[in-house]
Amino acid sequence: MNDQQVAMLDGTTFMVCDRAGDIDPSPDTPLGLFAHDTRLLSKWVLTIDGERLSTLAIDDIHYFENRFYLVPGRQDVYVNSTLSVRRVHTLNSGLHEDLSIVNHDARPVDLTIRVEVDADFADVFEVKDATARKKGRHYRRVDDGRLVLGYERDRFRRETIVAATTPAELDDDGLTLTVHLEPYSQWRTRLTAEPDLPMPRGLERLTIPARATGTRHKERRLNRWLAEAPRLESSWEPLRGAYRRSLIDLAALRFSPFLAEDRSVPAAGLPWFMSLFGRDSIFTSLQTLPFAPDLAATTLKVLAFRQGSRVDDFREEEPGRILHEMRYGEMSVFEETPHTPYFGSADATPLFLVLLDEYERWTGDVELVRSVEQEARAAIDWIDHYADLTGSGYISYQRRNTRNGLENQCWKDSWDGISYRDGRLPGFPRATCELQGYAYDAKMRTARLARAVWHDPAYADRLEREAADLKQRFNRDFWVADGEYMALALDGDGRQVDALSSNIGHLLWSGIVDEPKAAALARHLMSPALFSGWGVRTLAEGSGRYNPIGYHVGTIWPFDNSFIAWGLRRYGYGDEAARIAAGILDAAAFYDGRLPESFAGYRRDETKYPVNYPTACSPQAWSAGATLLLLRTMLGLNPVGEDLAIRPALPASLDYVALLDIPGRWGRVDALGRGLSGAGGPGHQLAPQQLSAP
Amino acid sequence: MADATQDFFHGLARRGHDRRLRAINGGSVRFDISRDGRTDHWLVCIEKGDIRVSKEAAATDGDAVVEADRAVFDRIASGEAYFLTTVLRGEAAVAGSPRLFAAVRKLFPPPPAAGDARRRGGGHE
Repeated sequence: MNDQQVAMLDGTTFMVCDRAGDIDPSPDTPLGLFAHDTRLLSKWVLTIDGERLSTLAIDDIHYFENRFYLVPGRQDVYVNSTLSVRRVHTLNSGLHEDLSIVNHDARPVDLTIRVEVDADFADVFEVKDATARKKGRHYRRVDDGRLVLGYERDRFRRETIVAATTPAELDDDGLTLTVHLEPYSQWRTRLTAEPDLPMPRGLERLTIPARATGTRHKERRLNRWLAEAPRLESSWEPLRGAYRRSLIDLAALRFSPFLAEDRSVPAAGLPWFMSLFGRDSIFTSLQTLPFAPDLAATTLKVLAFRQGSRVDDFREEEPGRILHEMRYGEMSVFEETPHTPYFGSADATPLFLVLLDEYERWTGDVELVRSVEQEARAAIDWIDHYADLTGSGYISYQRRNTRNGLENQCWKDSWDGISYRDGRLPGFPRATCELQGYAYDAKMRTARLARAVWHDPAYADRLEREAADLKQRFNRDFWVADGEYMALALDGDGRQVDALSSNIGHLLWSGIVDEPKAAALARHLMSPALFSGWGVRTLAEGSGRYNPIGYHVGTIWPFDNSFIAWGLRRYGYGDEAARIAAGILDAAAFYDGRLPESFAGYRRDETKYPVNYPTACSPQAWSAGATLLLLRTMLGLNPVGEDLAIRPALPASLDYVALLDIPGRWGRVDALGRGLSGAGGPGHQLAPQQLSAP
Repeated sequence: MADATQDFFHGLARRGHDRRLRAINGGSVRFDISRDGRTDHWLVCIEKGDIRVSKEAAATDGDAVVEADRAVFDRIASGEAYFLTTVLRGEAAVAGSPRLFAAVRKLFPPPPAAGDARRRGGGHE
């Protein structure tokens, strides 16, 4: 997404166009109308008397509605048009465009309005990799006042149906409207582009999530979502802005996958990850538990239902494994890619168990914990058997699908995401450190559930024994003695992959780190090699592969930082957690409160503003979630029995934060925090421009 | 491969119980398998993991229905074809309870193993 592009989205349906509201065809940019991982419009270009339009203003009313104010022709310095044009785009099952033209002149005018239309039905993977290789047949026909654009491959068929509410001449390439406008009068029409995806009966819900239709219904739904979330008060306006922005972005990314009925899970991010991801939906659910616990409940149910039940090398499915990614595009359907669903993730399964326990701690919903007992036990079995590729008792990964499976099956899943300090890439299987932390936490938490809910103390004892044993071995085998930190991974021969990385922060979150070693990890996380001033880099400066604009080898990920801050608080490093929160929230202010997927790892004092990572997704669910989790860590919110413990540790310059009506098993409670400048300071102070110094 | 469909249903009947289906309290799926203008009906009833199979199903039985040509179903029943993508390509059809349909997919055999002898995971079950 760049600033020449305008997006709107609603769950997994989204549209990206240019600043005039047009979709200009391009094989490799994500311009278009997309649904179900398929591009349903690849061209949508409006002209008036043969001229394109110029943009005066854009108003993004809602995440599902954009308004474009335009004039005909390419304008340079002066805008001197007697016509004004307004295009209002709204997303429903497809695109609705309300087009209106006002004649400001004293004379009547006759206009020819043309909309050029095309649909390439590209799979989103084809757009991402800029490889169109359609094996089927495109067709188009004018039929009963509608233009039907279609694509067919064997018995697989996708169609987009284009129409207007006023008389129009239709041809294979679009529609033409002839308009006569009296002086000072207005003309309007509605153009629609609706998908027609013929699906087997009963399966409609599988690919076509039931969406609330109609702008007013969507508005009501958004307002209810915002009203149900806790209220934030703070003297620092950027924090209030980021909070509201994050809640709205999470609302926009909600969709109802198969079997979720009318409840929602978050899609991962615009434009490339508008789909169900195991890891992303779990992390986002963890981040949002104090704010919107229903996301976690639906995520747990959907992932449990789709849990792996057999061995399938292509999809990397294994019994007990939690899925990585689900797609419905042509390449997935014809098994050119394995996403139906794809299971190539080594962390989603233990994280599923972590979320299950954290969810129960917040909500007290033992019924859900009971209903997925079998799946939870199967997840433990997966950790113990299928994930232990070397017999060493550690989770490791080596792809089963050697054609197009992921090499790295942890969150840093790009090809070079895991390396030694000197930059070499390790052999397989790879046992990254955070996976062991998640496994430890998963067993400790599942033990609690086994004792409290399933009434199986023997199973709980077993899990706790295994977790204690894992912790002991881990602190021995992963500890890089000469650097005093945990290795990024063990390689296929059990040797340490000795790069210093942000992953050590996740270890603190999981609690697998022996107390005496935690101080060294906290020191590393806040050292200039890892902490840029904005946040913790994915890979330490000075590492062989360090690159401040490398996807997983030097950039800063807000989501990563939110879990690192949580981890620091777990081990008592409240000040350090607050510094990370301050840096990330300061960065958010530069993005109008919408944290991107990642940004560059340059030192903060070099640039003064966060430098964009070129192809970062935005909005991104777990980046929106980062703001929420940072609020939780700053306020020190933790469910303890039937109560919510509150132990604030705010950045020094943030004088006041209150989160009101936090939902949970306690009903609703308020949390208040004061920073140093708010605690007994000399009267009223001006809110700082930034929370932390560059 | 000619008897893959029949072998599949007979195998299900012999299995009698599948713990992966315990979450289904009760429900049935009818399979309408067509060949040469003739349609065989199989009814699979599931109750808390217990499975019963009968071939004498009426065209109104079943909380969910799967329709496929025999050639297509043979491939699903032998693990050669993947049920979900077969349906998404339009080669087989389903109707009725989505939950039941989604559970039933677990009954089909996995694809033939690639036989990676180096792989330890899952080897010590």
